[in-house]
Amino acid sequence: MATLFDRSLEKFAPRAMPPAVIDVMADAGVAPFRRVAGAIVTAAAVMALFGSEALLNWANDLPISATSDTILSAAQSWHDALSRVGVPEIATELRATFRRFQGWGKQ
Amino acid sequence: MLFPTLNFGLFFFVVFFLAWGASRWPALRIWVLIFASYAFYAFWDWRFTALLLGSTIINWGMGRIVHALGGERNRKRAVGIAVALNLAVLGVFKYFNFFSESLNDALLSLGSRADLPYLNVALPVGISFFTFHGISYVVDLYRGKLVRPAPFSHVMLYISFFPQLVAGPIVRASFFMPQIAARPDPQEIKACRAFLLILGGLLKKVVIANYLATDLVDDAFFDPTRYGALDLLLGVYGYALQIYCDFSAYTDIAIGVAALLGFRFPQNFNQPYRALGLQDFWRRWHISLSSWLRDYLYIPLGGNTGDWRRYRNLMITMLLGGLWHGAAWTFVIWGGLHGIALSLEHWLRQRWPRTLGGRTWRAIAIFVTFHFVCLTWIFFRAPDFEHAFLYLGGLTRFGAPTQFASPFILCLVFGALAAQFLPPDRMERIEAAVTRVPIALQGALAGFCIVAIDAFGPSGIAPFIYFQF
Repeated sequence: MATLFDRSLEKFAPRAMPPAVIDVMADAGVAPFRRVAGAIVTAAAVMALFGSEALLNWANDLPISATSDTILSAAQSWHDALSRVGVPEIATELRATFRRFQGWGKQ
Repeated sequence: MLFPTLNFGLFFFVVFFLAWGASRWPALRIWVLIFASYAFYAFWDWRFTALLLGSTIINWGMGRIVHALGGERNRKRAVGIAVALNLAVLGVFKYFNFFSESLNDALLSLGSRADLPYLNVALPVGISFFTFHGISYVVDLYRGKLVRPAPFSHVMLYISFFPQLVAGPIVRASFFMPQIAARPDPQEIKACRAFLLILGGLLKKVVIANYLATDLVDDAFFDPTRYGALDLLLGVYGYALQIYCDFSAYTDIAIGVAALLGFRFPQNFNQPYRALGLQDFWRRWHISLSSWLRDYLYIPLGGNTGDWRRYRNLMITMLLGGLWHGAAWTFVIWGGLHGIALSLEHWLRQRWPRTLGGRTWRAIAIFVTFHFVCLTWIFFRAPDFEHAFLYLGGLTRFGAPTQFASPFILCLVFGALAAQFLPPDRMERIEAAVTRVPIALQGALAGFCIVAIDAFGPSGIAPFIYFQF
């Protein structure tokens, strides 16, 4: 017979003896490969567009070699081109807003 | 290679297209994923890929022996050897110096001197996780949960699969092996949920866990004597949420990445700080480990058979669970405290099963459980007992002005705590809303969210806490 404790537990907690494995994806919706690949490519493009500064920082941190020089040069040109139209400012502004919130109320 | 880095993003971008490109040829797909997983592991230290391969060979071979042997006694013996070999590898790399030092100290305190050797080896990242995967493979074969031994490449992928390789979740062989053998359907990728888990994980790790560490927890634990009770209380709340956000972030990203490659992983966290008791807490915290310890250690020890044995088995399981986290006595004490409290909870529930019901009871139960868990986190986080006791002593130092309680820190701590009480079906609700948006726009939004998370985060990413285990 279930005790009051057990009944109150059931309201909040999983079953008394949960299964060994709970599949967190069991009821998730599905999409075909082409659409998922399109979404990933779009995400990468948006990141390259708005995150050109992060891309440049990453290229700067690469070990020095002929390949990394080429990558760095390309990342620099890309960042410069976007800076001329002010795109990286969006990420900078987001960061500045967050830093203001972080420093709010600090002496 | 850490998940929240551009290196990993580029790595995954390539692996995603190669793996799905090879999906018509299952064997090729498996080898693509194996190659990617070994490359991922080699990024830390290429020499340890030999250890990974060695572990795979041992477990694959022992699996075949266990399956081929006739007679229960022989099979049991073979499983025992397999478990011992796995634990020996773990023992050498993770625990040898700990036991050697402890024994040296003990002998020194008794007035004798032994000078036991010290091994100068680095701890291979993820060794505790892939050792448990190896044990799971052999034991699942022995128990008949796997019908026959898997081909070598399948065992190789199971033990090395990169999303779960370094910090779990601990995926059982009986759950994962059939997925390797099955042909993935490119028409059924669980992408929306995967994107949500990855984005949520990035937010939890890059923003919440990192700032809790740098702006609160690291300072509080470095020198607890500098702070008063309120700051130290905030520090331990902060650590409770930091370790949750850090570890559950890793798990969420791992589950999401695996789902994009067509694999399913088990749930590992379920809002643990809303637990009503410690038994409930362990059904919500690191579920893949606690259920693994229950099924592969607690039950083989005898489980709940008889009062005395139950408490003994519980204590052994929790002490070893503590030691699994790290080779230090602070982790043993952490496990021991949980073991004692779990035993007490079992005992109380047996003696006085009729307890007050209703909201008040639940609120008190949640409050007490959360604070007990926080208390034990002090031992888990402190570098040694001296720091742990300084921290505990500081919690009685009332009246000192608070140095940490800025609006930002309070928002992080209490916001992350409040998120524990969101509806359990929150992910389904968000997914239902997001799926109404065209998938290309979903991708664009995901890309922008990642840029924003990167902008909010501090420069540089600290490794995940569970990498050291």
